[in-house]
Amino acid sequence: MIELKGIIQFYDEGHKCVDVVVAEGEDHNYKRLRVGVDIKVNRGKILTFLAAKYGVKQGAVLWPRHIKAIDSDIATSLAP
Amino acid sequence: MAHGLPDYNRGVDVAYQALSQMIVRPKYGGAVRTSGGLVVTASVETLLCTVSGKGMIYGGWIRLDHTSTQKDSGVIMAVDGDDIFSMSFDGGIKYGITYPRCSPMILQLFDDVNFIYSVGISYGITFETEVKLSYQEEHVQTPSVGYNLVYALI
Repeated sequence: MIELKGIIQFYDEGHKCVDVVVAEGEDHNYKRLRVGVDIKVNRGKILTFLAAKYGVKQGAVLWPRHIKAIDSDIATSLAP
Repeated sequence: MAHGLPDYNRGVDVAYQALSQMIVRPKYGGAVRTSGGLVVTASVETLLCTVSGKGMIYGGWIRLDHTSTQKDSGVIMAVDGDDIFSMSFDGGIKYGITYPRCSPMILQLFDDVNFIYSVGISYGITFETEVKLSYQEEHVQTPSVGYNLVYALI
C-alpha cells in the first residue's frame, strides 16, 4: 500500500523543488521522493508520479482528504 | 485482549489486561527537513516553503546576513490557512519576543550593525492541512534568506 503523507514545495537557489512523503507497505515505512524541480503541482501530476514510481494504478495510491495539491507559486515569488 | 473476552465486548482497561501497563502515544512519521536559501524579492512577501499534510513542527529557523539594514523586514508563518505569526525584526527586539514557546516564532539574533538577523521556530506547533513560511521585505532590497524547517508528517 502506498499512502501519501505530504507534499513539500520549497525554494532553493532560484529553483522550486517539489517532494512528496509517502508511507510504503505494511510496515508504513516513510520515504521522501523528489517529484521534480520547477514544476507546477497538481493532483494528477503527483498521482502519475507515484503510480509510475511504484508500478501501480493511480487508484491504488491512498490520498488522504486533508492533503491539498495546490501549487505554491505566488506572483511575488516569481517576480524577477 | 481481556481474559477470554473479545475486544468488542470490553473497552481498553488495564485491570482486565495481561499487560501490567499500557503506553499510548501519537504516531508520527520520521522527521523531515525542508531547507534552502533564496534571494527574496524587494518590498513584497516571498514564499520560502509550504508543506501540505498533517503533522507537527520540531523546530527550525530563518536567517539572513545582508549588506544593509533589514530591521523592518520580517517573517510570516501560516498554519492551516491562517497567519499565526508575523513580526518584523525590529518589533521582535523592541518588544522582547525572544522567549522560547511564548510565540510560534522568536527573535534569536538582531545585529543591526553587521545586518545579521535570525528567528527560531517553536517546537510543537501542529498543523492539520498546511504550513507556510514567508519573508516580508521592507527596505527595497533583495537579501539572500536561508531557512530550515524540521517536522513530522502523520
